[in-house]
Amino acid sequence: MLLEASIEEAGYPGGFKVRNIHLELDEGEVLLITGRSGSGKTTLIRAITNTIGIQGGFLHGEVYVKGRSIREYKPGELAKRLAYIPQEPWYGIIGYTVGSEFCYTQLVTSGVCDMRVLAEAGLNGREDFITYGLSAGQTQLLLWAEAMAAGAEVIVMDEPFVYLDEENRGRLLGFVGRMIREGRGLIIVDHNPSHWRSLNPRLIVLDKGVVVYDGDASGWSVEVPETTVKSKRKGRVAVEARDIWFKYPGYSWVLKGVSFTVEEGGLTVLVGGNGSGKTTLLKIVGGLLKPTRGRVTTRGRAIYIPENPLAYYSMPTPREELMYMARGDESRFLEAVELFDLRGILDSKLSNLSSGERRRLAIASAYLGGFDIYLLDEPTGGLDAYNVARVLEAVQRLLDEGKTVIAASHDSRLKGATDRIFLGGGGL
Amino acid sequence: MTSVVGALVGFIYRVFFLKGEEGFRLASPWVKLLFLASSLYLLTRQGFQPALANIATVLALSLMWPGFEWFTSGFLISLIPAFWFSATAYVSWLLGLPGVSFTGALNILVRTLSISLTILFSASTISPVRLSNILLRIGAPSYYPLLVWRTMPYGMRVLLDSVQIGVMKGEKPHKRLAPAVAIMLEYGRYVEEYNWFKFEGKPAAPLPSRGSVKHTLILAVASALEIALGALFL
Repeated sequence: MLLEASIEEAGYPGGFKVRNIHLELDEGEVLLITGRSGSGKTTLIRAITNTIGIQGGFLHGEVYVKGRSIREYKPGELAKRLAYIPQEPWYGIIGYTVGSEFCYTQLVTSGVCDMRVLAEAGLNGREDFITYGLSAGQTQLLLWAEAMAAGAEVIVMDEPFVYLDEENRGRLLGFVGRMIREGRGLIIVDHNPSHWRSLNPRLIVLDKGVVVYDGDASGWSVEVPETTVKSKRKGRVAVEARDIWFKYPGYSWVLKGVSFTVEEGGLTVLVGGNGSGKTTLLKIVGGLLKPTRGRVTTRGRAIYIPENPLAYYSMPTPREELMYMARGDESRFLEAVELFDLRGILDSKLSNLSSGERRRLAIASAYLGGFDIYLLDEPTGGLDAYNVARVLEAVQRLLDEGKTVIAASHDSRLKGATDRIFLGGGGL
Repeated sequence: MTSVVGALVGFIYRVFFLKGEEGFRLASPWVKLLFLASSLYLLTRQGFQPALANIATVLALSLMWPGFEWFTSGFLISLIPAFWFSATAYVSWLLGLPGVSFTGALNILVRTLSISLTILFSASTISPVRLSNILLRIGAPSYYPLLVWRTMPYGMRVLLDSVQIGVMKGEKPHKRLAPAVAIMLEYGRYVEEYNWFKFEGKPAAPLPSRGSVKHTLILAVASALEIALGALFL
């Protein structure tokens, strides 16, 4: 037995809790945890990885890794047995170069640094490269390399597909297959269990902090809400990009001669692999970056909503943000609250909102700002089907009002929601 | 205003965070100190020529590493204090207050530019890996330099994004500090959570650090040249 968890209760004082959860993970086994946003997946993972205390939480119960309580391990010892790869992989890095990050982790967990594993992750020759310049996919591969080099027997992955393009997904599945063959155990949190069906995992479904299904993955099905939008194209050009070239300092060209037009009143999805320049292109359209060569013309005012909308807001609560953007107009404020279904979160702190709530609020706020072109960066990344549908409802509201929406994403659900895709490969 | 903030952030990024563990960062720390000392020695000499010689040396070295982007950014950033000091001293003189003549202002400009470029270049040759190893040897948390060099570019990008979004929303740049701080606080919380074992554990050995004979030699030759020029200008 690699891992055994008997959790009577784990969570945050006065806040959310998971209850009565019993898990076992054997050699070569895959345990898949799923559930809607807010169902307790992250809290459970924090309890298993012994990080819940860092977030001010508690664990009543025991988690054993290789028969020993996680509380008895020294930090480096536990990391050698159990590796945790977060959904946002860039948070899992402290080293400024690939080599320093990789070696620092190995020296803490194993006491030695063997760079050969980096080659298996496709990062050979990049030891001196700054980690800030890695794409999300490359960062995740670096964390994988660290987990493999440490010899971790239990790998915990939170939404591992969110930031990976098709090529890197294939690479990740290769790693997973190898882990299983080597007798390691995997705990995977994913809002979409179908990603892992071929591995025949044991599935645990959480809802409101308790297990509602525990069994074979093939025995569970989930109703997927409708996720399509209806564009109301007017035939007029909202955005025209001609021969756009762009490079960041110290890097090679990200965009090479990109040209496209976007009509008013539609949803256009920019699709491309990791590091292909989707976000860069959005920022160029919004005027946040100046192209090295080429020209962008827009009809109307544009707004950019980043992947983490915290950078977008101006006020500390949703109510204040919406009132601020409505310039104190109570009727417009109420209209946006109803239109984007935000009544339940108006007085929450922005930092306490879920990813989906943050994105819907930012769209509502921008709507009140009267913008014409909405540039959304990964608006559905990491969201379950239910929340994707709600974000797309918010997008639909914009389209109904005749607004233009351009989203950068490699989420296949978003691609499927529209009829206008701008596809790029090897640089857009 | 936004373009000024954006340009400044871009310059700072290119000067300090553009490159990884390579180039003059791999030169011997003693030779780096020698170069700093020889530059300061040259600057103790009177007149334009020693300062101009130092500027030329630093810029020539910067073209070898970190490269042209450092060259332009480092030069432009250094021009800010250089122009400020020389212009205020000259304007003060023109107004009849204590100050300096045009020639004196030019002297201030060149010498400030020289000092600033030397400091920026020396700072950009600091190796976070070697710094980390020094901290490990003295028993201090050795992840600090790695984390600082990792986090600063991220923070700068967040600040820039926030300021630019503020402009789109019709806000003044200073109003955008709060969202940037909120993101960095969130970043800090997650980094603490996911890297707790790195912060609480201790590396069993120093990080492997390579040296570069080539860059050590180049810096040594540049130092010797500056010392010789210093003696010449005596």
